[in-house]
Amino acid sequence: MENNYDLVISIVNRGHSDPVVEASREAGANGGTIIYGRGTGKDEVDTFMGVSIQPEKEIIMTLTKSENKNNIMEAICEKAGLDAAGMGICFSLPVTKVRGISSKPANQNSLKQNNSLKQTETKK
Amino acid sequence: MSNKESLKTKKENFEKKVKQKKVEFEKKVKDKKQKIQDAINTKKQEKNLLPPMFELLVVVINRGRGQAVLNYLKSIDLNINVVSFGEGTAPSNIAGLLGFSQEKEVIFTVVNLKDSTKILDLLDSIFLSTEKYSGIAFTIPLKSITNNSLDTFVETNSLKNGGKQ
Repeated sequence: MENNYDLVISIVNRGHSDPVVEASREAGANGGTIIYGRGTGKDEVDTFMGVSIQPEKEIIMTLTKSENKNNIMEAICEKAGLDAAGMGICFSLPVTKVRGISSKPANQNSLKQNNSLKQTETKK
Repeated sequence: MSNKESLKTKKENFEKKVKQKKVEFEKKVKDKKQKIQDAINTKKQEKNLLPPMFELLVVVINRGRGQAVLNYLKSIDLNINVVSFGEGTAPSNIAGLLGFSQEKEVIFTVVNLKDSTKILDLLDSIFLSTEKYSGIAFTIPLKSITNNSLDTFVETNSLKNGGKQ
């Protein structure tokens, strides 16, 4: 599967990933993975009584087809408020090869599973 | 006479100013040309650099299944690995109904460009397409990388014989 995919990465403060995920899903993304980190920017690190405090971050990685990438990034910036200063950043990386991703959207797959379950129940 | 002289001096001053401006303009043009030439030279130098040789392999798999994937990667001599813990973003109602956890492990590995397709196909056949280890894997091109054992890694895709001791 060497067609065109991109990895959209959004970095926001901890607890603010839901709007990003919803915005990306509305724009056509199937899902993503969130990992955790700490911000080390100059303006972000604070000291309190000699102890440095680094803000916790959530890193949302969304794998999308290249044709949807711009829509998803625009949706994330508008709806999750990344246009405003200090709310986070969003960028994309090129992806050369992908394995394990299905071409059908997740909603269709779950409906099919529900239908097949119903059929087995009625047969019984 | 004084009028003529003043006109003459005015003319001379004006010509001086024109000359000065001409010299400044030529200097600006020269600087711009130099900047353009420098930019062209740096691009040429970049073309002479080695072509990209490495890719970052990212594997996203369910929590608890990462160790098997890591063991497999180590068995094929891929020793530069970083594991991070994360969560999937599937809608929580569906995840709850179907009874699967959204907790994930994300494995980052550096692979040689020439072997990345083969490694992805192997991962797909052994892990990703099975129900137990279902997940996704993809590769991101790396523009530059530094490591003490890099030349050994380039030749053998292994760090076993490299590194400072």
